[in-house]
Amino acid sequence: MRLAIDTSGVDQALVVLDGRRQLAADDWVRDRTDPPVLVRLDAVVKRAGGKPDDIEGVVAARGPGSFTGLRVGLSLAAGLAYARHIPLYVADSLAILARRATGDPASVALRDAGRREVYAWREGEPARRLPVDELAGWLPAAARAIVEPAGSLATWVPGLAHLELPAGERRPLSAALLDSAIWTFDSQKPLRYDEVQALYVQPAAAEERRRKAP
Amino acid sequence: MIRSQDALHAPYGGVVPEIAARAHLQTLVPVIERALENAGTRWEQVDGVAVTRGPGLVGCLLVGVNLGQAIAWARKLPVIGVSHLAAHVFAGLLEEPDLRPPVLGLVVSGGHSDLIRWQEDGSIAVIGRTIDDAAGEAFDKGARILGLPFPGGPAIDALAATGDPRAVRFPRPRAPGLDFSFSGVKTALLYEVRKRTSISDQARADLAASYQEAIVDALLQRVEAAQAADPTPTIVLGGGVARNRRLREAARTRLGKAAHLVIPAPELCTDNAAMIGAAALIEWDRRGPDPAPFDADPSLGFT
Ligand SMILES: [Zn+2]
Repeated sequence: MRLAIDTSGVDQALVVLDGRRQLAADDWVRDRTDPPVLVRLDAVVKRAGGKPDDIEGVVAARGPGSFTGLRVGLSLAAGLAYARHIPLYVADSLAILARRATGDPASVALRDAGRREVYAWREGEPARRLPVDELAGWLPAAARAIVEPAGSLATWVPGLAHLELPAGERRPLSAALLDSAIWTFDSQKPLRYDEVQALYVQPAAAEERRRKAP
Repeated sequence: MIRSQDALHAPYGGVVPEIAARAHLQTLVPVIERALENAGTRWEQVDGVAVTRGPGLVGCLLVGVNLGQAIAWARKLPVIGVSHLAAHVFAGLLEEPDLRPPVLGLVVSGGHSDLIRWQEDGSIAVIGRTIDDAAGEAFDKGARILGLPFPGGPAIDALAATGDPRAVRFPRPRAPGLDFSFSGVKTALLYEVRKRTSISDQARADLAASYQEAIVDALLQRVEAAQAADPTPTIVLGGGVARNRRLREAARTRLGKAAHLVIPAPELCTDNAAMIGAAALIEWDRRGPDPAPFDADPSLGFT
């Protein structure tokens, strides 16, 4: 059995799969009072009828997303992979998010980055960080956008609210994570531990300001 | 096995949290691998995992806490989360395996200046703390004023060796009770530098030595006061600033007669995982392993 972890956003999920089949999954909404993710991980593996020794591979979302969430997910994945000598993979969080659309994946995925900025991804391009004001120029005219938190596009660019997929057309994160994990295990290369890197955890501007500080 | 990020942070004149956490993610597993290798140990021979639960930078703690617990979970090992601060006291155990409470401890680092009592029931009580900068911060800021590189402590220590500690009489702190304060001496150094149009190499060394003397004196004065108020058979120094040569020397002269003085080797004073192991031994005896997964606690105290 293999394990997939996405703790990069507000919606978080764990999936245990065997080949292409889901054995168990857990979806939850991030909350400060949550128990440690390891508690959920232990429970979901048990629900799948397995134990730590049965896990043969692990994939974790690498962002862009929450600083805390990414660290938790990637550290758990790395520790598990290392302890069990099993391959470790990462997957782009926004590519996972795009797969939450029912039917075909969404062509655009947007995630709130705070301070009137968004993480923006469209098919075939790496994710980027954009000011909300630049979204209108960046969004393709016929985009099918999936947005986290849901409904945000209306507040960011009211005129383009119709491009966001309605709530009824999104699946649980675990369903998207399952698809993404299957694709990743099938077609991607495992990482070395020193290659594990979270994306967009630091606004480049802040780093630059510090560099210039006396 | 210690991997230092000092070189990574040096261009910024201090630790940059986001850079620290990013590097942790990439280096932690290779560091663990190397440590096991150096110890000639295989995972099959490991009986438990100890990890720092706090205090510290949340991004860094998250990596250690989750990675350590994931390893333990995957290998069905017990795990114990310990306080980084308490570990600076317990590092004394690496020097003296028989070290037992009651102990008076001084933990001085870039983030902390704490005077503590490790009590017979195993708990640690903070009896004095800094009301502004930590001692290590005072060294870093002083070094910057003197145009010396980061980290400032070692730079001042080195330069002070050729200076006269009596050249300038810097003010000693005025915090109440057993608390510390270093902002006054830092400001005094700044004025001292500003009132000179140029500073010769010797003058710079004199300033470094005098500044260092003021900090060391302030630290030891509080330890002496605590010892006078409630004598303890053993005194332990710990934390990165306890590497300072003048502090070590002066502590031996001033405290050595009043109590048995334990100052761990310099490499055990700076942050290291051996002290986390020492803390785990002590805490394991007291309360056993943690019964359930735990989160990082950036503001954790000594227990
Ligand atoms: Zn420390």
